Amino acid sequence: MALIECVDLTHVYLQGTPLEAVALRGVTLSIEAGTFVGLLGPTGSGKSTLIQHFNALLRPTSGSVRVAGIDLSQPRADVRTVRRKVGLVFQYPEHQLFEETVFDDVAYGPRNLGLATPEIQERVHDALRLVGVDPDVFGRRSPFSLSGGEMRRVAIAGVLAMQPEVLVLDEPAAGLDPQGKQEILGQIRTLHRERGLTVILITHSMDEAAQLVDRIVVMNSGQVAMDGPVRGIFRRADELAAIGLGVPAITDLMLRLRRRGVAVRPDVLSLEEARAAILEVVRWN
Amino acid sequence: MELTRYVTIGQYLPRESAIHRLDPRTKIAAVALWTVAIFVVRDFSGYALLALVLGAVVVAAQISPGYLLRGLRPIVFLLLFTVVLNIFFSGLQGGTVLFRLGPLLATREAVLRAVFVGARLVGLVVVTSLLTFTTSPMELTDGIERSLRPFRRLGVPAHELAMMMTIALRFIPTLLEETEKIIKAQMARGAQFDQGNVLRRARALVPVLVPLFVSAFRRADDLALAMLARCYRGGEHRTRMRELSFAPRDGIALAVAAVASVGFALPYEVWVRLVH
Repeated sequence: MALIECVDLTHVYLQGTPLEAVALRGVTLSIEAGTFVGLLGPTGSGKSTLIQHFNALLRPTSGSVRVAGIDLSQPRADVRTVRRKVGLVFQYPEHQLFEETVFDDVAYGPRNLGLATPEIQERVHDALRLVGVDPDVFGRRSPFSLSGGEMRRVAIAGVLAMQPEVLVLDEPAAGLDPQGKQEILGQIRTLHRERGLTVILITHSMDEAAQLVDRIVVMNSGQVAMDGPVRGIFRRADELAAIGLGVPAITDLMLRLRRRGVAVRPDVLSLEEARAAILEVVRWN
Repeated sequence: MELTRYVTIGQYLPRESAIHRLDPRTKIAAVALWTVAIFVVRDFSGYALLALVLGAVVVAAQISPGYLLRGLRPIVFLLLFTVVLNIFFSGLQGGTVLFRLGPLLATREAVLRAVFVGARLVGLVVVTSLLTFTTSPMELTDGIERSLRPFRRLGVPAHELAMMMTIALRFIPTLLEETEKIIKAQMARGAQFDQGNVLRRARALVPVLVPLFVSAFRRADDLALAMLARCYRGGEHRTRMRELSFAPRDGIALAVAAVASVGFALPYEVWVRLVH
């Protein structure tokens, strides 16, 4: 059975009030353990609502969500276990920092789990190292004295210290400079490859998606519009354009070449692949 | 986890109704009149008329009664407390004893008065909610600013007060949303807000309040900068995009409101005499 399974999941905000809004309509989706899934879609398409169901911050209005076998449509479901298994990093997570020191802030989650002090210490150090922050240098500083990128990484460490099996991130690189972006994304990739974490990544950047994920789920007005392997999705550039999304810059280049009559493969995702594809065509001519 | 579900007071419900179209000053004046009248009502006939008139306004404004009543939920406790207190500690001497509760005595007169006090509270909340339901925050502050303008000579900073109100109102939903987001983020890190004794629960709020304050200050800074960047320097020589103007319907509405408020306040005996 898949790690996360949504069947006909519907969510309505403020149901029964004049401000009622349907955010998800009949989403059916399953995510296997160990995969890296990109969640794409225009603003307001229901991505954030969907991921909040994955750790029981929101409950289905109708339909069901199962996480690691726990049925979250049941009101008495074991929410604590689900929250421990699924770590959720919200957009701009640095806005949730509150402790006096970096160490204490990262330790907030493990302390809520009721762990012993040595274990907490180990987890905090481990989590900080995972995001490339030296615990010995930064541990005792105030989180509010850090730079934007450092704050972001400390906040992500706060979730990693819970040692989740699934990491869900809502635009983790938004608002960072190019270098900060690359660092964060690289660290997420490492987590996935070396620790076997299942990662679900919301992003607006097609290039990020092309670089990182195995599978793409495209949301549009509360429904799953497309779902499949990365290459397959980016081959459907016209459909993506119809819902206001693009393709990675390098895929776009290939499509433009084809329009000019150069018969390159359209489904390339990286510079190396593009180079190979172009060389192939040149050689044949 | 939808905070806006529980906070309906101050909420604006956009509709195309006759009440919505009234000038905000008309509505403010009507609310002021009725608030005074509600404190003067002494008997059932007054409350019945009040209920009738408010009901008519609710229908005319196209607001669902259920939504209006939901706005009363936060004051249910206050309401019960007030009513009970008024029944047993009214200080009224004598009267017909209805029932006893140990040393406490409930007389007919006291119960009646308690019911009136309760009705008064409900009436006040309903009247003010009607104002915010039918008037956008922008219009409301415009209305208040214009209404306060005559007092500027006396040193009342009308524009500044209105601007402060606009900003405060504007940020209620934003801060609620922010609070909700922070609560969720901390819950994702295993926070629990509904367990333990009072002290524990209060302590559990620190991880919410600190980020909330930080973000409120950051927003205030950003807003001040954005206003300065657009050359804001207070109310002097400031023109408006939409000037308020009274229409004939405002005169009619005001007259109706005034007559109604006198109607609420008149004792039943006077009514009887007027009718005959």
